[in-house]
Amino acid sequence: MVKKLGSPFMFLLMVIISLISLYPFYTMIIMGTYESNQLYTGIKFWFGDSLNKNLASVFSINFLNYYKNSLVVAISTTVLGVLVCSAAGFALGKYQFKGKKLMLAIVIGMLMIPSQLSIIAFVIEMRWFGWMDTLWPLIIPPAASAFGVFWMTQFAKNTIPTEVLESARIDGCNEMSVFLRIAMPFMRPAFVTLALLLFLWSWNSFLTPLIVLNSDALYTIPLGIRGLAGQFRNDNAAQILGITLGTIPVLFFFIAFSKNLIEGLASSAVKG
Amino acid sequence: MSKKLMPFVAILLTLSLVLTACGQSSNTGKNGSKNEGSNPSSAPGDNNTFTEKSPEEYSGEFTLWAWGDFEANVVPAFNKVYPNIKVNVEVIPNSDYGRKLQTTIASRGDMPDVSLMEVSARGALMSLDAWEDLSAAPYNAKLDDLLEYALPLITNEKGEVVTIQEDATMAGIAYKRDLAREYFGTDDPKELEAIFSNWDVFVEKGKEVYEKSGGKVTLMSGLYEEGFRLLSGSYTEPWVVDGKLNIESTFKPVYELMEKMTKNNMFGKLDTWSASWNASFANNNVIFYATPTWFVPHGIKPNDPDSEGRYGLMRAPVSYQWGGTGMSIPKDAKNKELAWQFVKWVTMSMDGAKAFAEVNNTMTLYKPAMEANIYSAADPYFAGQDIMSKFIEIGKETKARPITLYDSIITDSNALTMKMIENGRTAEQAYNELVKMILESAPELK
Amino acid sequence: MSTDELTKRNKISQKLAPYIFVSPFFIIFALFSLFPILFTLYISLTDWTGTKDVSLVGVQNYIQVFQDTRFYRAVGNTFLFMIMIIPAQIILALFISVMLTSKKVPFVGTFRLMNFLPYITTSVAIGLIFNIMFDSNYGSVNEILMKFGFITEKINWLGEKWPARITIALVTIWKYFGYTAVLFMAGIMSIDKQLYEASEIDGAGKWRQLFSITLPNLKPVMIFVVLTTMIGCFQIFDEPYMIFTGFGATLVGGPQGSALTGTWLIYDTVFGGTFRYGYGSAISFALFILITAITLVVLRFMNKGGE
Repeated sequence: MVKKLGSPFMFLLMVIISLISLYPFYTMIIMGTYESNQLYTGIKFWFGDSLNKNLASVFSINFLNYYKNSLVVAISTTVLGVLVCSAAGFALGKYQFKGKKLMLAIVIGMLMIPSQLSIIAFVIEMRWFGWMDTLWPLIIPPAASAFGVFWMTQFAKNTIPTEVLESARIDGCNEMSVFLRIAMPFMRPAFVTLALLLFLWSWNSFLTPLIVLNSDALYTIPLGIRGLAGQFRNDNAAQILGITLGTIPVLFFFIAFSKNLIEGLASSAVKG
Repeated sequence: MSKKLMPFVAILLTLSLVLTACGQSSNTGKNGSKNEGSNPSSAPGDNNTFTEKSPEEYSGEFTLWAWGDFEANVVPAFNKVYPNIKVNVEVIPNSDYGRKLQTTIASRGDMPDVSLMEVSARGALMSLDAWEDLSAAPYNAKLDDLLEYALPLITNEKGEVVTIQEDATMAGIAYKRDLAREYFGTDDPKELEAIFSNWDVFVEKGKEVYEKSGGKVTLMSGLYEEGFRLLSGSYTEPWVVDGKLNIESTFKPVYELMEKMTKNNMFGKLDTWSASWNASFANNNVIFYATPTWFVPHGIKPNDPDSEGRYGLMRAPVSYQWGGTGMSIPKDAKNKELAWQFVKWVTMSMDGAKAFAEVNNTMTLYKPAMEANIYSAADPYFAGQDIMSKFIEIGKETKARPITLYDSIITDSNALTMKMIENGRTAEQAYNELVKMILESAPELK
Repeated sequence: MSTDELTKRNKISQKLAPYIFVSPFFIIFALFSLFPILFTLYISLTDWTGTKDVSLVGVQNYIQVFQDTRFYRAVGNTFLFMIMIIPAQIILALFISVMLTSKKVPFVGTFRLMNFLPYITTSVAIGLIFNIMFDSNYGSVNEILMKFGFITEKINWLGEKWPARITIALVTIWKYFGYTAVLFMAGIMSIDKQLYEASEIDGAGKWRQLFSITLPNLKPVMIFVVLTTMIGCFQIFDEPYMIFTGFGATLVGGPQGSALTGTWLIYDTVFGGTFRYGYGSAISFALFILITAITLVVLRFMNKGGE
């Protein structure tokens, strides 16, 4: 398509940029195989020989259980979030109704508020609900993602042809089946995108679990890894290895769905 | 395509339901056991003192929020004396501990029965109306048994003792013996103490070391935070008095000294705990380290594990101290009596002191243990020097500055302004900037 | 049942349906996002600090915010970061996305993954890695720059004002440009291929195609990217916080406050110092108003710009 830009020089430039991009991630993988005190003596380019030792430290904490908790939380949030956001997005994108403008304004306004701001009020509320030291605060609230609804609204508006919905109604479909049978398939590409992002955010979430969880049995990965600490200094190498291991599901998710991710983005949302 | 997706969604959904169910059940199980554990009779209620019981008679469990293994390490020894108290240690990352504690207090959430207070976080935390006064009934801590210097560190501005510090924190200077021989002609602590008797010698020798080594070696690592601890350690004026900033008498002379030392290249530019600082132990580019008791097992040895016999310990020209972790009992704690048994045992008993020294390689503030000489031993890492006795000797003269509500603002600002001195600005510029920054964050101190 | 009746019932259900569809979202949203924020708005009208009794002080906190030098420093830094980050990030992302959609490049998937990896790396790892890379004494960045003769004296990346800002800008660009490139790629792929074919017949060069077809058609994506990046600049926090307080000196706001951003100021007010919950909440809402205003201005400006 753009022949000149494909010249060897441009290609080389892109390779260099991509390598720079990759370098810290690669360094992260490498660093997990050194001893903590070796980490500080210059940047490494190849694997060290302390992988087993660090693995032992990582698994000396309840790593598999943290993994399980993180999976429970991330998968539940993702599934719930995709359902909740797509239903709302469908309604906001494809129906005319009173209060719609206000709802959209609230959603967009919410995108601009720093998320850390209301943590204390949030925790007070969690106490009222009796949700402290449970996984619920990590699962339910993030499912109603302002970004997700904004995303799905744009997507529904741009990709679901109104005529198709109308003809389905004439054929006698009720609104629920219009949504489930007709609209959902159109929105499929957007699911993947949203699912990936919700999963990623949930997986890396740190502040909420830190504040609401009090028992080691419920810790998620980012919290558990930070516990690999001595009294005065952290076992950074083991932490990094833990992070690397913790990144695998997200990496897998991205590789498996990266084509759909782009498709999902392409067919819509960013159009308006 | 949608047919392909539906099973995927279905699997995810079932999986998450199944897994959530697991999470839930284990959680309720835990809550259940917690409730059983909280023995109603252990609440102090209106009693003025806890009734004296023999250790075996105390039974139940309590929760402790820790960030490392300092406390968890001594639990087995504690349980030998108190077999029926179960200690639940929950680990919370060190760097996030204060934030977690603060949010829990602000939202009146479930507090642990024992929580920790690192000395640098104590200022504002101690002022919260959230802690039991351990010097009052029913606790009546025997403060006379603690090393005197620590009292200002555990008392808040209302005069309540809201935490009992676990570890003794008096400090000297650790040095690399080989480098000391090379540059000063001796590695004997007594002789070195005689040479380094005042700051002027530090400046002079610092300059010498830098020039002799062609800039490769410096006498000390950096202003932050070792340099600051060493140079400011003998000042005991509180930083805020009657709601007004009171830092001139401490920071002016300290900054002037810092400027002079920096100009003569006595300090490198290595921030304590930074990557290059950690590397300096093995890299041989620093000779002296400001060293409190806990710094030996947690600062030096992990960074230089293969150097047995290489270090020495000497007195600094001033007696100072640095660091410390205290244990506190929150007002909202449910098992105060059991929690207190643990706090008391660790910080104020011979058994506790012995166990602490054995597993944590450092000492508690318990005076009778020091007097009974339980720590005295030749340390091969320090070429057979008896460093514990040296620390105890220093501890007799150590004093500490009382902690105020604003200490963390002042400490944070100081970290920024010390960088100015390090980068060549004058003491006066840095001091003026320090005052300006503190007043920006806390205008009420004007 | 008559068709009339059926249409009538459909009409009613069609009116009700959107409310039913939005309700799960808005119930959760109102309970867990909106309510805490309104509660925080209330807190911002008090002098709650955790160390003394709470009382309502009205707009006192807001008056103080607008006299607070730290507030203006945070806003100023944010603008500096916008200038340093937004153009560079967009140019890099555009370059990568145009290359990867040009069909002239092999291993598109691999390159896409390489550039997206920074986005999925957690800030703890980023903090540690960049802290080591930019260390003034041993860091690889100084080493490389000196080897190639770009500098003769080591730069104190994490200890001086401007180098610190540059470091943070680099980290931020590095972390987000791959994500931005994915957005651009999506935008480019949805551009009608016939536009390119038609211009090729007209003999337009590749550069002209870039400026006359690709960029104009990318405008909606561009607006989205610019706006979210601008909002993101106010919220830069995780990475500088890790870099400047995680390993070594605790430099709140970076050296001389050079990396203090809106979110960091809020964080420090609430969790540092003397725990000023009321005042910290007021700063949040003041920033919110500021961000909204800027967003509206930019939106208006950009919408005018192209048409």
